[in-house]
Amino acid sequence: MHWGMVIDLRLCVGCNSCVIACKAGRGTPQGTFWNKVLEQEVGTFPEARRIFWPVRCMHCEEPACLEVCPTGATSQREDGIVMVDAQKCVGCKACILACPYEARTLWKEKSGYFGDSLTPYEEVAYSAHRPASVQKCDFCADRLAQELKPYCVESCLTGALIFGDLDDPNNEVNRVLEQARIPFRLKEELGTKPSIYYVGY
Amino acid sequence: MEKKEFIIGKRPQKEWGWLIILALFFTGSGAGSFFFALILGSVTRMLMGVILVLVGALFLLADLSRPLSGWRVILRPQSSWITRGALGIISFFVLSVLYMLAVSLQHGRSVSLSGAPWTTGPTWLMVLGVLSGAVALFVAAYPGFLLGSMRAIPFWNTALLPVLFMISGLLCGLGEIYLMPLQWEGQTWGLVLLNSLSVGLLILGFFLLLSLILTVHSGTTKESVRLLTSGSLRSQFVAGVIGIGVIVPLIILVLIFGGATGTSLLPIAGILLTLGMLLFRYSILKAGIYTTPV
Repeated sequence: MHWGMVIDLRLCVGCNSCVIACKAGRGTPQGTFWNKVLEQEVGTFPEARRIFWPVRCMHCEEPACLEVCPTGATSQREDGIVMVDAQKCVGCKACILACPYEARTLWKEKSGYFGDSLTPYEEVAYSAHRPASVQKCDFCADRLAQELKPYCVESCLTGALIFGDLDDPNNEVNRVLEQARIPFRLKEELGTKPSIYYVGY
Repeated sequence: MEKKEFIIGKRPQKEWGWLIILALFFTGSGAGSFFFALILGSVTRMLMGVILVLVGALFLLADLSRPLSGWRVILRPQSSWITRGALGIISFFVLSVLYMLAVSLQHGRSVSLSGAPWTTGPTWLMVLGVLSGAVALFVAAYPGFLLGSMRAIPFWNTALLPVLFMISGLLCGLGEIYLMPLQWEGQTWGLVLLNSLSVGLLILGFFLLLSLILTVHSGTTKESVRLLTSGSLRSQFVAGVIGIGVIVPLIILVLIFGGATGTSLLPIAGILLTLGMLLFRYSILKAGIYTTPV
């Protein structure tokens, strides 16, 4: 079992529903985004176009964050998911500096989106997070345990995010990868071996 | 949240700021001070080096979100340079304090400067001295390895940085030695040795700094070099590090070395060296730019 994802760039329309679904479902703190849709402008007029790149923790096979973590707060499960144990994190920020995908954020203080006091929703949602520790996407590990897909995948309007077991040749992720012309991973030259593939560039 | 967070572009790192800059400065300069005090055999100056490293270690702890859990950083020496650095600093404290105690018990508070003291005394004391000196060099150099392990910042990923940090730490140490009043009369060997080392290290450091900015660069690294040479860090790097920290002290030391002037200019060289090496850490950390994820 090796959880992974394929992102079809031709299908992503930049609606950010995955970003909102993650924020709502996981209740991530103010200013923290476990996934983002980055915008890139390529070409020149009249051939200019905009590409949307959904990015999140790449759950690398060789995680740059894991090797720099001095406390063991970052670990990797057998199914490939890179986890952060907030109880062990001391906030040295080395993992943020090491991650080439800008996937990690330090949640500094317990403040909400609407002033100093938290809304009832924030009170409940933020209780799942520990201030002064680093956060990132965990592929919705708790939902996977219930055989549910991550919030971002469930919410994608166009089916641009395909999630599954990379070790299973019959899984949809591998079928998409086989049919893709040139599947690639981001920053492969850094040797991190991400578990997220992109197709359709 | 910044809107530009969702736009692909080159972003400077903001995670490690002044607390880390000061931490690296104090640990590096303390280790350098200790190293040269060891050569001179001055327990008082060794103590000053240990205190500076302690101040640096406190800055390192202060930068953590959870300083009280700081002990956890020693748990992963197999891959983390933060752990290795922390263990190096702890070993430095243990070995240096043991050595200072041993020397004080053997020779009194300060050893004579008339001869290299680490060449005399019982074997175990010399071994302890060599070990504490080696650990001091490691404490001065490890920030270069630490920065080099950050794969998202290509500018830091160079073999030059550990050497530059070690040289910079030693130069800081020399700067602090020059700053403290020292009776050089009759201690010619000490002054000649320190000046020779200073001049050598400054020349080597100058060429390594040139290599750092002149080596062929592309993408994010090119932007870091642009920041240092013609961007917002130009005055700190070109005027501060290369001018104030390297060239002017080099001229002063060559003048003293050549007998053109007395040792009265040494404290000025000391101040300039110290300031330049602080700016070196500032420039290198601030020039760290993240590689774009895409």
